[in-house]
Amino acid sequence: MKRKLSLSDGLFFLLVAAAFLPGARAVSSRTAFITVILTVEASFLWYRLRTKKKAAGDISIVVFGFLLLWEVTTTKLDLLSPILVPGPEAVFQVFPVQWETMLKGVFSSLELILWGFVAGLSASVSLGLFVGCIPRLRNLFLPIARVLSPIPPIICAPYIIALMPTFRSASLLVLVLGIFWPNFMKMAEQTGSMDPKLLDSARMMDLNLPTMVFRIYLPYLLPGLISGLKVMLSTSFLLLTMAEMMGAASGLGYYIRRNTDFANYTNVVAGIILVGVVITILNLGIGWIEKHLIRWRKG
Amino acid sequence: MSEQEAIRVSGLCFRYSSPGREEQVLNDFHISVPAGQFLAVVGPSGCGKSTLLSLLAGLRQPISGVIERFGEAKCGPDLRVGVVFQHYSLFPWMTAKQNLIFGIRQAKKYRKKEAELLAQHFLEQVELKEAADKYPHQLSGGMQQRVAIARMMAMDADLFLMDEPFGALDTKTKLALQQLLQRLGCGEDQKKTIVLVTHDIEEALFLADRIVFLRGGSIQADFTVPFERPRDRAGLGTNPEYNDLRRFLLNQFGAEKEREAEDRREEDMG
Repeated sequence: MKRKLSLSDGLFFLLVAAAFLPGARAVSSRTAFITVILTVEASFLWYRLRTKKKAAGDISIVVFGFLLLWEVTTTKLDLLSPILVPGPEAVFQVFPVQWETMLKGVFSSLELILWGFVAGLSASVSLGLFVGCIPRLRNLFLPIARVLSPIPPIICAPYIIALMPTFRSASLLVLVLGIFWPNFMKMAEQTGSMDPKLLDSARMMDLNLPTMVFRIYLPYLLPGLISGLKVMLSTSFLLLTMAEMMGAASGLGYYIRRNTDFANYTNVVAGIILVGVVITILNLGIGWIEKHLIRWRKG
Repeated sequence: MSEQEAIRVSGLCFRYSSPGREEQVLNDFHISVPAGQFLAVVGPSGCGKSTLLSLLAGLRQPISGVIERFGEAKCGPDLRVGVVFQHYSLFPWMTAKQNLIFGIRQAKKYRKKEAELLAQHFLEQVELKEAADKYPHQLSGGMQQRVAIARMMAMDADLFLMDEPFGALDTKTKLALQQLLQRLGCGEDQKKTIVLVTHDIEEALFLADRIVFLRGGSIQADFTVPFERPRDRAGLGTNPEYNDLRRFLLNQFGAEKEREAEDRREEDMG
């Protein structure tokens, strides 16, 4: 069956053509840019074939449209400041050149995020569960949590950096606070409002405490926990990169700050794109976890 | 309490308390249920039937009085007691089979393999072998209640407490599940005591050995259902004694409505 050329296909070909045309700015290499265009097109084609969703085509129109606009206004026509708004060829060329430094930064940040999640989630889930089960504790701690939780941890970051022995421990504490409060409140509220019939069914089985926690409460709370993970992930990256900008010696935030200090906005934009890619990959991972761990949920 | 009594309730009192309001639900309530009896507790909404059931299950504690189950006045839930609620009590994160296996391993401490075989057996008994690996949200209401009943049977409870288990189902499904319950209630190994709370008179007459009618938290009528088992619904409908009992129970409900109307008139005048 012949497939008609769509708008996204047209934009793809236009973008590839534009990349090869000479422009107002000199370009050291366009290999990385072409690789990105081909990768994006391949991803959309694969997604469209797998899911048959029209949204894939719409998204590719937006992405290719943006890349084309970026290419034309910078490399081709040089309409914007070349220092502040580097062209896509220059930005994407940063990746093959500085991949080691970037990868080190990614792992440094991810390590902190991982420990922050482990500490923040385990504290918030265990304390939220405990408080949620006891109405008196719920009535005591939830109002306090509602006052403390809106305080952005990043505001406390300079003070925490002064308090803690190392910058990494300070960053970790900022992350843990950002994850702990909203999750603690959610767990306590959800535990307290658990369907009484489910609780009665469990009570009739005379379950011991570990079984009650691990086979009843935690599976019940899991959907709420996982649905909050994506938001927590974005918040954590925000907190971490901002904290790293204040005094770190490694990490994604540090990479962006250091290049900003040297007015190397090509690297800065590359760093921003890298943060977006890392978060997207992690969100895909969370989506996979959600799909497999809570298959039992409706819809 | 004689050895053959599954339940003995003496002087039971219970009330619901909220700020500025107290509602006495049961006051000096007495009842005994012999082992192996199928008792239906019938009455209008708010008469205390569901409260009585939750007290018998050990899910609530009375203000005063004694509840003995199998000769023991033990507080709290008991694995010899199984409960099926109106609004499906399966754990949504477990498949039908996993719900049964979980219950069996809690009640009987069987190994996983043994529990799986037993779960499969009881799912077949309720004609849900194909639904073993489905989650509750993938099952209809009737299927979920059948799994709940299968779980209760698989846990080998001696006392079944059922709180309007078919109340939320359509007529066809309800009739099919009543047939199932009758088959269970008069099985060869009928040592189970069943207490069924319902507001459906026909259901009570079809299933029970004995019916008590509650009003205002006390027993207004208590009689044995004289029909032999297994009972045929069509046959019962033409039985004059069945129709007399049905009329009697309807009159009890009608008397309740008259009493409520009288109470409302007094409130308006006073």
